[in-house]
Amino acid sequence: MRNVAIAGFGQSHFVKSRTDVTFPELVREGATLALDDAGITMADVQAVVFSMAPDALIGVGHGERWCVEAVGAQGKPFMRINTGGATGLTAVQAGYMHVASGLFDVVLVAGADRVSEQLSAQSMLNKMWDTGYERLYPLNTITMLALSAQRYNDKYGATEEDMALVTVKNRRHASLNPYAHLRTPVTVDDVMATRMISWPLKLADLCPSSTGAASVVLVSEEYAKKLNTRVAWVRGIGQCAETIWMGDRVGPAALQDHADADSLATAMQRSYDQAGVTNPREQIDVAEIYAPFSSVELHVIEAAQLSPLGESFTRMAAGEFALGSEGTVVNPSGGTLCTNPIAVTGLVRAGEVYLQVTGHAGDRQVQDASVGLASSIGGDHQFYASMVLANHLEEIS
Amino acid sequence: MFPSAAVVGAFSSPYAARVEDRSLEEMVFAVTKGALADAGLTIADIDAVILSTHDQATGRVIESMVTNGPSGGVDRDVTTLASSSEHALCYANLRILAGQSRRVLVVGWGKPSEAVDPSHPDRLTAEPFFLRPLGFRSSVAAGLQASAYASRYGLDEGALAALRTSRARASERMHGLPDGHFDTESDTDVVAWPLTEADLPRSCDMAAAMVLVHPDEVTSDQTAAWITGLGWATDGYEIADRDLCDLDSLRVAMKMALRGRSIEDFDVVEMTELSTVGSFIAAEAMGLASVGAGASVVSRTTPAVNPSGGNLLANPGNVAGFMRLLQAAQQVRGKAGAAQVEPMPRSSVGVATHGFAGQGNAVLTFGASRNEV
Amino acid sequence: MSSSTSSRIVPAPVNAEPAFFEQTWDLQYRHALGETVGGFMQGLRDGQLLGKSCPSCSRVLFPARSFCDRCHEATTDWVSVDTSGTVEMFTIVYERFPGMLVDAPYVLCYVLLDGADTAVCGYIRGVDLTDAKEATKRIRTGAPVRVVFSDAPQGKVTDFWFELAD
Repeated sequence: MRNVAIAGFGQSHFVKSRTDVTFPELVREGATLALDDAGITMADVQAVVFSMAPDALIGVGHGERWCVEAVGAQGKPFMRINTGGATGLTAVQAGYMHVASGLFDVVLVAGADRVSEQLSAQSMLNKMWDTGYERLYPLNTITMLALSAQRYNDKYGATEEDMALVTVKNRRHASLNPYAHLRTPVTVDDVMATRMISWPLKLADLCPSSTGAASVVLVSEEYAKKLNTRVAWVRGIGQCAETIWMGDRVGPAALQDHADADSLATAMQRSYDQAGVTNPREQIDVAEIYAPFSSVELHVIEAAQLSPLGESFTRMAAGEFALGSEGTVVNPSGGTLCTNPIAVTGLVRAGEVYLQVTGHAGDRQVQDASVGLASSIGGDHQFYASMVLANHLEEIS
Repeated sequence: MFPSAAVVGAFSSPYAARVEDRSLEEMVFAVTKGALADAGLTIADIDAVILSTHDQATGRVIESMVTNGPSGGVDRDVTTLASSSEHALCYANLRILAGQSRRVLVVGWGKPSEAVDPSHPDRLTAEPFFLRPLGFRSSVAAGLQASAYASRYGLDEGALAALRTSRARASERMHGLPDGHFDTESDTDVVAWPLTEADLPRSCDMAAAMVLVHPDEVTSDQTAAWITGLGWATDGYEIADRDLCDLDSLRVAMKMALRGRSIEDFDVVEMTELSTVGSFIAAEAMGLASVGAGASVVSRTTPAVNPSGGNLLANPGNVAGFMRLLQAAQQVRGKAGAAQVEPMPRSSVGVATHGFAGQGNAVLTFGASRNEV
Repeated sequence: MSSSTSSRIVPAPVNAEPAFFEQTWDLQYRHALGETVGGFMQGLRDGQLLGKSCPSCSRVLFPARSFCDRCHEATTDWVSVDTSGTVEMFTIVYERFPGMLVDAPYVLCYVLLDGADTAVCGYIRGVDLTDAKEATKRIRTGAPVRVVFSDAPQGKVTDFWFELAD
């Protein structure tokens, strides 16, 4: 298979809202930053993949059509990916696919989100579920994950304080990341004092509504040689989808458990198999793994096999997964918990790993990071994408 | 690199102006089962599912969530394309060319009947600051395009009437409807000058699925349409920056897909028609007619154009383009039903168009045998 | 730039305030539910809780569905499910989200009813929710519940909810 690399990444400084630019202008900001980072221009780009989650978050149906000029795609092959929250990483995989096919050498993947402009986001997101049954209940992204958190805590004996450890770790990381949205360090007591949203999830367990753009440039091996810059090679990709029915993920007849992220584990294993990763705890230096809530990071760490099931929180309490610790560092950027521009949050995961393995992650740099994992989740824990990146093409050991 | 893949299974739901006795999920389930059966495969044989969605059209904020299950996507690698259904087919080719998948299921649907006012989701695709306050929508864009063409070249009313009639009769044959079912002569209300009701696509509900496999995966039991060319492109959104009498993105997509071959080399063309006048414009952009002479497409017999009747009388929203590609594939498989061109075509071209005044286009070419490249 | 344009250059306008465009999407839909969901609703009106079974994995899918997404097969038999069951997972919603369907606080949960192989979403009513710590001593994974039917059914899945059975 053809070798493909990420040769450039750009991201906005994420904030709650931007009143200085329209949506296409914001997209252009991210695209330009990525092109500059790769050392190329829009004229060099041969095809574009647009990363955009629900239209309703932006308020324009087929909003990607509005943004063609913003990414210099007039007259070029252009398509848009939407896998809900997983969109950004699926879009990077789609960009990979364009180059790996042999049809293109230089592909731009770009997008943006402005979540806070959607004033009734949770009511809108309720309409993800089926019209016959579940839409009649106030299911939304918060309640669906509160159910998972309650079940995980019950299954493994985790507490709200254990969840709070994730927020503490990630806020400290975000304080070192100038692009992150929520950057104020917090203590466990601070988290516990925030208001209860949907038990056991409190306000500080949840991601913010972020605004900003992100973009990557993917190139073929021949083109990477011409660019002569440090790149992150895509070593393995994987995806897996789960049933929409959360009620099927409980009980004796279930194959997956809503407490865990079993289908994510499958997606990650597929990417590990392609990459030749045989021992994730030893071989993955940095993991930017999508987790919009503190509780979610606990089971995605386990899905990545960075911890046995049910042990992520005790290990985190012992200092694992944090910048400066031995072993895999999880979400050194602060992760989705601190910055969530939904349409591109999965793209930022890949971009952050690219920064890490090319040694450009500034104060949040994981020392000698060489192999990284990026993942994303969409729907009601339904669509999963995973990608292994490395700064070399040799066997991963 | 070509053939990039082969279509070995295809299935679409029977024509219905409105499907009210089945849910969207049930329609999708039926066509997925049908396409798999046509390929002689089961879902267990599939290693990737590609969905194509347009959320507001059917009122699901993330359509793929409810349609993934019926598409056989549980426990499988699933990607969703949301820019237009034809991109799902393009992407399937990329996955196979990249060596990431061997057997791919591509699923799309359009159920505009579920929107109380189907023009409403359409109007939401207009950018909000300048176009939406004007009530901009697909029919208005088509009207602007037709008006630009009329100003430059004039309109051949006889050819337009002949096109309407030809498509209506072909659609009736294709979908097993009585002669005269589609009345095109009394729909003279102007919608967006110079286009009347009869010049614009008529909505219907339809779901469709196709199975694409790596060329080496085709078995002797399967009937294949070999994908011999692939191209797609999108124009800028700003309609005033485009020459509306042309479809630049279609020219680019055709050039990519034809790979040096001539449109005259093909036996059948299935193309999307955003309006009757739009058909003339597309024909010129495709090289089926010289510039300004698009009306001549009505009388072309080689290649045969839109033997299925196209999408003017049966426009299933999101999958209008997908269905053209499906029909083009079915022609070289000998499975085009009442629309089958005889003798069986050796090659075909499918053209899928989307967006205001045809902003985006995708072209796939098909061959009846592996070496028809 | 042409000389006629350069003679037209003016200073950039200054915005005193950021500019906004406000819009509400007011989209209306009429979703076909199909015979299976329709059949479930009819069963509810008759006081029955109906699932359908998959011929391949034998699971009873509740509420009734026309196909099994695990096996990709059409379901076959209609199966009656009991009004007793167990809580599999739950949350207590305290936040008042704009545009949501009910007033907080309320319990949203999934219950595995006896006879079904999949759990159904629903409310647990009749528990004091003022103090989450106290409430979650009673509402927990494994708690037995019973189904309660509405006196004024509307042919919707919300015509029933749950109460703790202990």
